[in-house]
Amino acid sequence: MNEINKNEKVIPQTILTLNDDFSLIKRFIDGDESVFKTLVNRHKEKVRNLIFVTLNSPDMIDDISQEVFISVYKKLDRFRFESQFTTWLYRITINKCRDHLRRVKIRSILSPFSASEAELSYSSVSLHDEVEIQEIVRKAVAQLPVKLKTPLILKDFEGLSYQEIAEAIGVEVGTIKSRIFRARESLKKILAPYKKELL
Amino acid sequence: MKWYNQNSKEQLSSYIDNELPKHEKDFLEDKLFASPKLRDEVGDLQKLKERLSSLKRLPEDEFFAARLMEKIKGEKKSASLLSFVKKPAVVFGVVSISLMGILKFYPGLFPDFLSEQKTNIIDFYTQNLKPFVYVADLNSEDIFNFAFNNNLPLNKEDRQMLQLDRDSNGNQFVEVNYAGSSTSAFNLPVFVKSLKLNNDQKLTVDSILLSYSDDIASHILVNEKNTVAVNPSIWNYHNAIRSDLLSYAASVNKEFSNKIMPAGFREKNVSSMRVMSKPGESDQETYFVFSPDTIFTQKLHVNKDDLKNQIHKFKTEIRQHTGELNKLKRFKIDVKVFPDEFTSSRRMKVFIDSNICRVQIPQDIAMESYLPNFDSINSALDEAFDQLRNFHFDMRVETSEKGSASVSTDKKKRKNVQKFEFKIGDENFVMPNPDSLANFFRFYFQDSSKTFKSNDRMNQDMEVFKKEMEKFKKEMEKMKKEFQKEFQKNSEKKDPIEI
Repeated sequence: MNEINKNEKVIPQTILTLNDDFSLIKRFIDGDESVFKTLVNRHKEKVRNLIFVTLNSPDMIDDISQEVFISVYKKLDRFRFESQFTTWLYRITINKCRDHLRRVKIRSILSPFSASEAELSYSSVSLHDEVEIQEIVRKAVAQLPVKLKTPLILKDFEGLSYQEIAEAIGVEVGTIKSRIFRARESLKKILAPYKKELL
Repeated sequence: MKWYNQNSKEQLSSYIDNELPKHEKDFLEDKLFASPKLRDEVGDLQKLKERLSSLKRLPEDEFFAARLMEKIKGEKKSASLLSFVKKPAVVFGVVSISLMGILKFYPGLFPDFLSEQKTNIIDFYTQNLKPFVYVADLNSEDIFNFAFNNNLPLNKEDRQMLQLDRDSNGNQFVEVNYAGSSTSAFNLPVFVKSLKLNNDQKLTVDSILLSYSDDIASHILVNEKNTVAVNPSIWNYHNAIRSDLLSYAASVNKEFSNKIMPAGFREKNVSSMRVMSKPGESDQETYFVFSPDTIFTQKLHVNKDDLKNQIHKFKTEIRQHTGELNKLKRFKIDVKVFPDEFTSSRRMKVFIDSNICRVQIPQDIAMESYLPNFDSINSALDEAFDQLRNFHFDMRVETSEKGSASVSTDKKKRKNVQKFEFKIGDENFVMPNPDSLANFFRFYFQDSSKTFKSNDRMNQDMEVFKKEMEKFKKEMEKMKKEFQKEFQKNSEKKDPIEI
């Protein structure tokens, strides 16, 4: 019996490390700051893409993404585990985008010569390739008001549910439903000259 | 198909998101089955959704986390250094001692440093300033609006305006704002219509306005850093254009001009108002500079003769090479920035919200008129144009029980009331014929009598007046007959003579 026991491989006791967002946050709060990098790597692309589609301004992606994660870093110990981490992250990202747009708007009062950058050029109605179509759609989305644009992006681009979007933005589900509908109606109007190619 | 309304469209949007409760989804699917139009609508929405969901994602940034962690590390380091700073007494002591030491040996250090920073900012934002014509080719309506509504378009597409005006306290201000969709009721077409100008006269008005185009454009400088520098002497052109238009109005339609000009001013020699060549002689070199980060005043020296030549040349080139933006970039003027002793001491009141940025102009650089003897006619001009804006006549007919009737013409603002009174009880009273009264007005107002004729209210009032006069006439005749009757009776009823 003892021999058998000796021949048995001694399996070292392994500590199961949970890698879900909540567990990582708990470890961060307990003092293990190294997990923050894991959180960043896990969610950075969501944040960068959301900023890109919302602002349609490639130059700002890196700066605003960094602002978002620095804000997360500073506030993470106050995270209340009442909603998903991504919902909370999206809320911070949306707020940072809004702050940026507000700054741009104030600057644009004094910037008469750059306001129409994001406008569509209707002269090139014949769209030849996918890249061109993507650009047209991106610019059309950029023209929507922020309060319509954000829920639409979170729904169609990020694939969130109405409930998740409502939590991220902090409004009722009914409002989200209505805003997404209005965003689509507006987008259809903006893209009307390209209906044949796009729809 | 009655079911298909706005609310149902919203249901379609939720349907393609798979966010409808089961019973609503079943109901909608029944409707979809029956309606090809609804199916098309859903198809369009789905395609739109696919377009958005298939938007290309950004390529992954592998080093994002590394850069971020470095940044956080840097911030933590500076934060730990600052933790020392959190002890106020220590900081206060250290800073005070350091400052005392530095100032003892370099008393001019801070003023020099601050002034250097200011100079850097000023240099940065005043580089490569170009006249306004670079971005906006002003048309006659823009210049008219500048004269009468005090604004100039900076960006016509976005309706971004430069406004030069006075606030309710009489303080002058320069403002960059969004005009939205509002348009002024008093514009060039209204002016042309009021004066009843023919095509040739309209062209003359256009040419008067456009003759100011280059001057105005050269008083506003812009550059690619979104800086707008405004020379407050542009205000002179505002007055000059108004006076020129008034002068022209007087020459083409004297009666009209007489009506709008204030009493006592009509007799003045109108030609003295022709001041087109004068306003440009102002030597005002202080500009209000609006930049994306700051607003300041700065003395800029612009050689105006060179500038005008260049604008002319530039416009010719643009006409020849329509659409070649590179030509625009080659346009350069010699703008020299030199120290302004007021810049550091001057305090400007600035108001900013999401739609406007307003700077209240300090007294010492207020937009004064440099036109010769212009002050004396300025208020008269204001009054004249105020009347022009509100040009309107109203006729009132009032009768009273005491037997008097009065007719008055009344401007909208109840100025210049003219009253005609007919006292019925007077011995010399002659019953006025309402037609003759109308003729009187026709004579007095000549051309504008058409306006009176077409004025419904005046016609109604005249009708009332006529009826009342007719009534009064009948009563008088009745009284006369009764009096005659009475007289006859009395003469017939002579008392018998007693013998």
